[in-house]
Amino acid sequence: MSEIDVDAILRQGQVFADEVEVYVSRYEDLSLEQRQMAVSSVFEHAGQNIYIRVIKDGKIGVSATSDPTRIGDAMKAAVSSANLSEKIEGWNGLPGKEEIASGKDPYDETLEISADTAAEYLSRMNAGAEKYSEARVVTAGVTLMKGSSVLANSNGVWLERKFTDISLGIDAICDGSTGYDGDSAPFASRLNPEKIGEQTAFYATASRGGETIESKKYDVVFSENVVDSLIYELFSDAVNGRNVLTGKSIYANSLGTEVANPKISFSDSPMEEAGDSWRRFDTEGTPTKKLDIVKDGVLTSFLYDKKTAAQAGTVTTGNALRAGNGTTTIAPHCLTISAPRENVLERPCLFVKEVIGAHTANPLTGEFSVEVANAFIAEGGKLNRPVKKAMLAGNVFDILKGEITISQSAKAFSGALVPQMRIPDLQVI
Amino acid sequence: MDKIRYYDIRCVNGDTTSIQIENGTIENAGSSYYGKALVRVLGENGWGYCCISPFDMDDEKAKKEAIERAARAAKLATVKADIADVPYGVPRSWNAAAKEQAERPLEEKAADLLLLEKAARIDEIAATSARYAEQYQTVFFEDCNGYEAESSVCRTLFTVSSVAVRGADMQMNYEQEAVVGPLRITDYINKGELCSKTAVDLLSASAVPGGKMPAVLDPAIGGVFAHEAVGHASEGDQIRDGVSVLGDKLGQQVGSKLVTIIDDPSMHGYGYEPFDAEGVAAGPVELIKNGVVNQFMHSRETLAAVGLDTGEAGHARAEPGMNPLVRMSNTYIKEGDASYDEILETCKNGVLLIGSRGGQVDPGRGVFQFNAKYGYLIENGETTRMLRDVSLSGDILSVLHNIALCGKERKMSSGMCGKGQAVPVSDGAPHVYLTEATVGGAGNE
Repeated sequence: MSEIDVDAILRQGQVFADEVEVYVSRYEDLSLEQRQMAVSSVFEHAGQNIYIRVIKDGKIGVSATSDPTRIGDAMKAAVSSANLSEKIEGWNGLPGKEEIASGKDPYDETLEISADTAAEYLSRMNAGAEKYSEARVVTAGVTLMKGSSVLANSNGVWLERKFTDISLGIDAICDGSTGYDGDSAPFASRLNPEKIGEQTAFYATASRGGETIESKKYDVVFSENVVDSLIYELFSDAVNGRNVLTGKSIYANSLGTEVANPKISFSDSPMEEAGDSWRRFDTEGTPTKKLDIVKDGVLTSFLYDKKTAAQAGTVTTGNALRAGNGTTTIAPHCLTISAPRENVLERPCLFVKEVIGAHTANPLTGEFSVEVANAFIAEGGKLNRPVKKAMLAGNVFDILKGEITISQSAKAFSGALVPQMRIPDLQVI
Repeated sequence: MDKIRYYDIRCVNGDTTSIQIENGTIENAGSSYYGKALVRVLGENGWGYCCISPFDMDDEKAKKEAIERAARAAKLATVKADIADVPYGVPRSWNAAAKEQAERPLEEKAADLLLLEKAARIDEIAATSARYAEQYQTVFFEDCNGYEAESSVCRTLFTVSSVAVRGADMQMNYEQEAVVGPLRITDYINKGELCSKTAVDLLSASAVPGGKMPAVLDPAIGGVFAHEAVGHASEGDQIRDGVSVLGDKLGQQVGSKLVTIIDDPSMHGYGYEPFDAEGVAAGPVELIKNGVVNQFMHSRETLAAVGLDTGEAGHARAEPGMNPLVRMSNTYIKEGDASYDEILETCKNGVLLIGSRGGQVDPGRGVFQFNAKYGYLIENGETTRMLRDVSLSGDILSVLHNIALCGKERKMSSGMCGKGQAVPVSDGAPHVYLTEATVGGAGNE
């Protein structure tokens, strides 16, 4: 990859603008895809994304490119963008040099981006899947990635960050019953490939057949995947300061009021040890810190970047990430939940490993009706009988007001630490 | 020298210009640029891929190095893959370059979008937003046989959305138009008000009690039904890997004789591809013909693997710099001969589902789900109460038999399809009557 002269971009931008910011993210990765229990293709990928923001008279312009030969075009586009945008009242400038807390980047020094390393992960997932030999592994994949970023602005900020990621996935089928599992982590030590393979083959095998269940209300236990894609997704949208500012959040007028059961709290913990996305500073250079979002059921804070905070008359919470066109987006770095804990599968329940259609939930009102996959009648910590077909209908924000409990352990996702969740009286169709 | 049985290079360059308006204010507007090439080599056994950015198709030295690098990667693949010999075909050309639109100043487009968004500001609407995007993409393709192809396609879209508030109740709605080629926002200003009126109406709508009942699908949600319930299960890679319930059903009746479902990359819809990611220009493929599984969609590799008489190549699609996957393009249920009134009368009591909020399928199990923007209760052959948050799920192999009537008029809707990579698609249908479907909603109190 060619070198990118960040200082030169900053100098070029300062000819046109009051402030300039350049964010460069570079990466190289290697992927192995498996079919018929052997490597079917090998993918090498290297690239970069260059994001430019310029601020002129309080107006913010953005642009981005993945092609370093078009940095000049991107700079012109950012200036045009600033000319067209509205002035941000209350804008108080890009971050200056601030003390950044010490801490590690999510970077595994020992990770070797090599076909041998990737092939070993495939072998280990396959070995795990062999425990349920009736299941046929269909495909599997491994991606090993190393990357780095530089954030620099005309106020003298220069921040570097390194990151690694290992992504594993495998799917299997057994008599028309499917199973899938996957995981990703910045550190090899956090992954258990054998367990991923075993879980995949287990769910494909154990979900065969299945009984039809009566349409009524059940105590339902969501797996970590379902909690992440349904509960956390909609909750994150609702506390996003931009959605609040533009009137697209059900929580818009609820700051300081009770929005959840008093036994429930949510926080964003960017440097949470068990999380996957450690960030000491956000993509604008604002130092991150632990943020209480819901405390004992009461909504205490929304998430902000600098621009949205200025528009809302508040301060950034250091939650700026970056979208493909160069604008900042807002998201938690590591969303965590606190709620009463128990062995969620001990009492009788319907356990749901996956749902089909989580993304079709109503992001504003929280209403959802989704189809289950790999669902079981469970009790005493055991998945007793598979369920053939069922739909779940409910409301995410109402669920959070109820008597939910969560599992002792949690799974790390990008931007979240997610437990299993037991939900009383959920409608099953 | 590593063995190379085949190679191709697909270089994609483009730029995207977008404008975002929130509550009457231009939040951001501007352009971004991309350029990536995927070099693909079929080695002694399997594939090696190498993605390079930026890439100059005239730089022979860079090409040679990239091919060698992909060939080294391919050496590690041990699963034997072959590719079928297929005609490259002749790309069908539509007015997809939109030069005049590209040269129009951004300020004028922003002014048009502000008009659209302003039209959405009616009583009880608390928040409005509008987004416009135009993408100009040029694809250069060449392979080891000396075949070269080039295309330039513009895609343009706008979305307007509204949030209605009454007391503590909130509801949202959005309307979208997305086309291949240019699009004049001023032709769609009424969509702003239409969007908001529906959001306001939803404040009085009720949740549907879930259960099994007859259902009528409007053309938008009927298109998603075709896409989710049949399209994904007809993709050649799912067939090859044995994870589609349609895999062993070629030539078998799986649905009512009224059902014919087609995928057509050459159609002037949002999923239009002059030629696919392997350089092959394809025409319409009848996936289901009169209820019988007729053909599958293929890449050259899956056609060779599954069988030359099982469908057509020309359906490999890819994001810039990514590996080709078998995908849909423009998918639809063919028109029937029933009138809308006849469909409602025949349904008599059930639900009408309108618009799409997306869907998903597990083709291996044969189970799908999709969600409508809203719906209506059908009572005694007439639409009555408005319904919110209504969804539908079913088994592919049983629900196609439940199609009892298809309307006379088909409409297409545009969107994106995700299968690891996101590609533009369109899908459509006439009004479709299902004698029984599992309808989901929160109205079972």
